[in-house]
Amino acid sequence: MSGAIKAVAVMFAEGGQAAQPINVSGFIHAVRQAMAGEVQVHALIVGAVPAERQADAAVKAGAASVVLISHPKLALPVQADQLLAALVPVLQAMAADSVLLHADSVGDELAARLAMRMGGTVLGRCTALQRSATGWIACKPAYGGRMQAVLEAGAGPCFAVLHAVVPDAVLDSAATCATVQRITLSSLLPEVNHIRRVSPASQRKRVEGERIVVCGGRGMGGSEGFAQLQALADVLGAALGGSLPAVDAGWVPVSYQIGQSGKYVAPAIYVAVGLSGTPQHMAGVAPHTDIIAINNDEEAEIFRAAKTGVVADWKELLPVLISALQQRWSDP
Amino acid sequence: MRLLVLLSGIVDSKWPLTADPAAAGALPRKLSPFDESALECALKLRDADPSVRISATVVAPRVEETLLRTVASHRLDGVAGLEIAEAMLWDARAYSALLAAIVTREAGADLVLLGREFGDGDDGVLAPCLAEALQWPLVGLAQEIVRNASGWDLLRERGELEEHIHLPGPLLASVTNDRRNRLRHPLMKNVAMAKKQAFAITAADAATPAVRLQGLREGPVMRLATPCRMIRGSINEQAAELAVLLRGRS
Repeated sequence: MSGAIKAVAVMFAEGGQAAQPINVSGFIHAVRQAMAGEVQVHALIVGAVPAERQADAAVKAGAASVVLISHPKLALPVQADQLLAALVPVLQAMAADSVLLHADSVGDELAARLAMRMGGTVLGRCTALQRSATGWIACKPAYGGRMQAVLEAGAGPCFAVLHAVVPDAVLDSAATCATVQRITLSSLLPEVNHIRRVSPASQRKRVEGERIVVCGGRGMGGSEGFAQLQALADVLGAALGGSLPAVDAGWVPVSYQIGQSGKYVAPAIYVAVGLSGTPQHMAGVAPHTDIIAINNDEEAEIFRAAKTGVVADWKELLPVLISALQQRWSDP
Repeated sequence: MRLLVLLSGIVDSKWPLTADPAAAGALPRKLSPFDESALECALKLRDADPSVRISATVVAPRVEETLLRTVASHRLDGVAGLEIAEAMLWDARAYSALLAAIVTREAGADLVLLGREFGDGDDGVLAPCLAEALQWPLVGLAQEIVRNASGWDLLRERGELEEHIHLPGPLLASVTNDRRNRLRHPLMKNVAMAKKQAFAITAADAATPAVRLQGLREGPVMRLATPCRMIRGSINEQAAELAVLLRGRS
């Protein structure tokens, strides 16, 4: 195999209420970072209407080409069944060496199903991907993040998902003159009227895309602890998250879950309270994030990843901290 | 009504891992939180309708009777083990074909459940691959499943929304952890019965995977080059310094 790798970065233009709009430039840069060697990243952006703003972002991020797909019958939030039907013919025509999607529930499902339908290789969540003499070499986490598996695959097209971990600020300088191809699809899509969507009574900030995230773990001891954390998140204008044990215990809903099996977050500040810092949890926090850890165990693993630490019982510290923050915000 | 639960287990995190894949594959396994959620969903469906029949197959490189007894202690109608070559774990297409063969053998299953992450691969590719292999509808990341007269009602959260999905069977659902599906403790009499139970553990046919494991290496550990700066002092002093820091960064 020789020549530049043709990588197609598939992105959904509209998130609706159930998915964050994708960080186009961040994802294109993440594809470049993950793939060793000469790579041409082609952006395939799909939505119910042409996403001109995202196409512009892809051009600015240095995409080799941009294909803007719209289909008026695409439901929001996006559903894998519909995207699958819409994308297979387009991707077949693009004849990519590799197809990369953003790592989230829809991206994971879609990448696997596209690979199965298109005769490609299913690689799942990867951290690195490079071409070898005979095909592909991929790295992916395994065993709860404790190990990295290095996989070899044959020469056919491969399908993988990646986290977009690159902050927007470092991008947008590699502008090119990529062409934007606009395609309006009218093919028959699977009906999604078997899905009824309900907004919960209380609205809250999503953990993805927030500048500050406050997250609690098993050490919070119960829902009452999370009420304190919510108060801290409110005073900071932050989103609230929880670890897998906290979700398992029913202290917070599953959509709050951060970690390898939950959401991947890349805030500027991550306030970790009552969290031990297992590899499974830390796999959900971007490496560039500044972690402030509050834990009553000075030996907790979280302090090895944190920039700032406080050894204290959260029950004592949080009320005083919230009060201090309120006081400081009300100061002239 | 027949339910099939596919379980894999994960290597118990108390066991150290090495770069030797065969050694990793041979380590004792326990049910993952997602295995447990899938099993609990099946048990809740049986609670609602005692005529429901549940069978479970544990698929792993090494299937221990201890794990099968844990599953059987929930008084299932059938519990079996299938041992696969460790190399199969990394090829989702080949692995899902093997799982599809189990579903096909269990002809007549109305619902097949598995955890959102199946085994130690740290991602959720197997459920969608299995759905494609079976040509069945898939509901991913389900949190609650209820049977009604015309099929299945499933609930999942997506961002700010709850999705209520109604589908007829047969259906494949991957289940995520949730307060509603936390695995119950088995009754002691069922634990005792499971201890006496005999299990069939068979070996899967050998296959040559198209995706091969070249090697394992230690996972990235999130550690800073500089030590964590600890804020010391009384609670009031700690809170005051932390408030200054957070206010400065907000």
